[in-house]
Amino acid sequence: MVATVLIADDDPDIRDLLEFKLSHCGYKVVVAEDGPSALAVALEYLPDLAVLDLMMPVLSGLDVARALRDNAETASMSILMLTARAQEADVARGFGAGADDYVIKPFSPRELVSRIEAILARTSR
Amino acid sequence: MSVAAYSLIALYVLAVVVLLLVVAMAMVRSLRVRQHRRAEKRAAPIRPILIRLVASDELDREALDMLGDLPDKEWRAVEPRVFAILDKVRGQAADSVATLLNSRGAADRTLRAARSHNAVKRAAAGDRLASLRHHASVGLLERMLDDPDRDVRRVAAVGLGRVGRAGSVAPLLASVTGKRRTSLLLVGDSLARIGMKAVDALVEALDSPLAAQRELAAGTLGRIGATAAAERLADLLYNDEADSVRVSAAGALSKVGTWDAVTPLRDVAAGYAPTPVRCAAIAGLAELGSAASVAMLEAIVCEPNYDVAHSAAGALARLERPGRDALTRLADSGPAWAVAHAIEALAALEMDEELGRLSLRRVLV
Repeated sequence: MVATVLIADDDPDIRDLLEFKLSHCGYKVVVAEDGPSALAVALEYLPDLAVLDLMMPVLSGLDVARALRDNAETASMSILMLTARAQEADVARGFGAGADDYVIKPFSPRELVSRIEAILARTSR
Repeated sequence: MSVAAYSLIALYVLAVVVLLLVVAMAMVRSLRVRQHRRAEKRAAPIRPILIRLVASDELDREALDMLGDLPDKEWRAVEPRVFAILDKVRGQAADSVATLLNSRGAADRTLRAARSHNAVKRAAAGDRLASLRHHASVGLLERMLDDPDRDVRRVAAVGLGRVGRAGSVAPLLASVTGKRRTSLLLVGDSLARIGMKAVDALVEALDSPLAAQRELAAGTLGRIGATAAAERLADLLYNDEADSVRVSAAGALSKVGTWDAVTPLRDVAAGYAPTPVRCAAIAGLAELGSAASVAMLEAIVCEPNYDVAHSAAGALARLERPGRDALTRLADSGPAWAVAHAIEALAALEMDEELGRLSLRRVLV
């Protein structure tokens, strides 16, 4: 079955780049441009994995991750944080909010896809 | 004519000038918005090809040629987007975009702009040079660290961090002293961005005769997590003549996070040292999560030195259950001033927890 990936980022370049890349890798991709719409899309499509930007308008990626973990329907969803904040404390906060992996911008699209594949392979076992 | 009449005329003239200025500003703004919209419209059909180029695991020659053959008018519209994307990716994606930009002569144009008399143009060129990682970028950016304009110097410092060459450590460290200096914070970010490649040069800088350079080098070694530098940092914490350097060394040791860091931090926290240095060592023990230091910190809260006692109470609040138990003990039966510190730290702890609960509730509602 084709895995579904949610991309939540307020930057259209990142959204379009990841949508293109992941679609070409065979994933079904759904996108959101801010925190509240990321939550709505996650609840509607129940994706296998969410790529969340940390700094999104209205609700941050951390808030979205916590909300996803607290909802029974989305609690087991894999979460990958994508952010320009590289400080140790930021990374720790990301994992504290329930992220499975953390990628720092600027990022390599190829590496990001590899990480997504690895997370999905782990969770499907 | 009377003075009142002259004043009235002057007022009218002023009002007309202000009105003309407002109209001119509105016209310029409207022109820029229209230009921007036109450029966006022109760039829109080209963007998918650009995304394809960036997303490719290997250099997509077809996409590169399509973008390389664009008429100048369309290229000018899309070039800012290309630079914007370049800053967001690395690896093959960044190499592909840099190849495209270089094939369109962006590097040559940028190198020319970097020698402009206009500081804004020089700063913009410095930013783009860093993005392009052109072979001529590093030398030019290093020279820009001594630019007469502060903003150009800042751009150069940030740019050198982005390029990330070990050879830039010495010029960056030198840029925090002298007449044309750059902010310690900004240069520290750039040095930290260079990462492990910077460690050897930073350790060497711990022997600098300039305190600002030793302070920055120590702080950056901590941010990088250079465990190999722990012994030198401990030496600095014990012996440096400048308090600012010792404070920086304490913070760095706590971030390096090795077992070797605990002993020097405990020695300085408990022993004789200037107050800011002791406070930094106490905060370092909390950062390390040193539960073995709880009894010592509990004793420090009972000291009459307000700042040191306050720091120790704050440190205990960060040491989970053993720290909280110690604060509760102090609040119940410590000396009067220690009771105040303990109650304040416990209240701050409860407030943090309550804020966390509120924030989660806000998200869930």
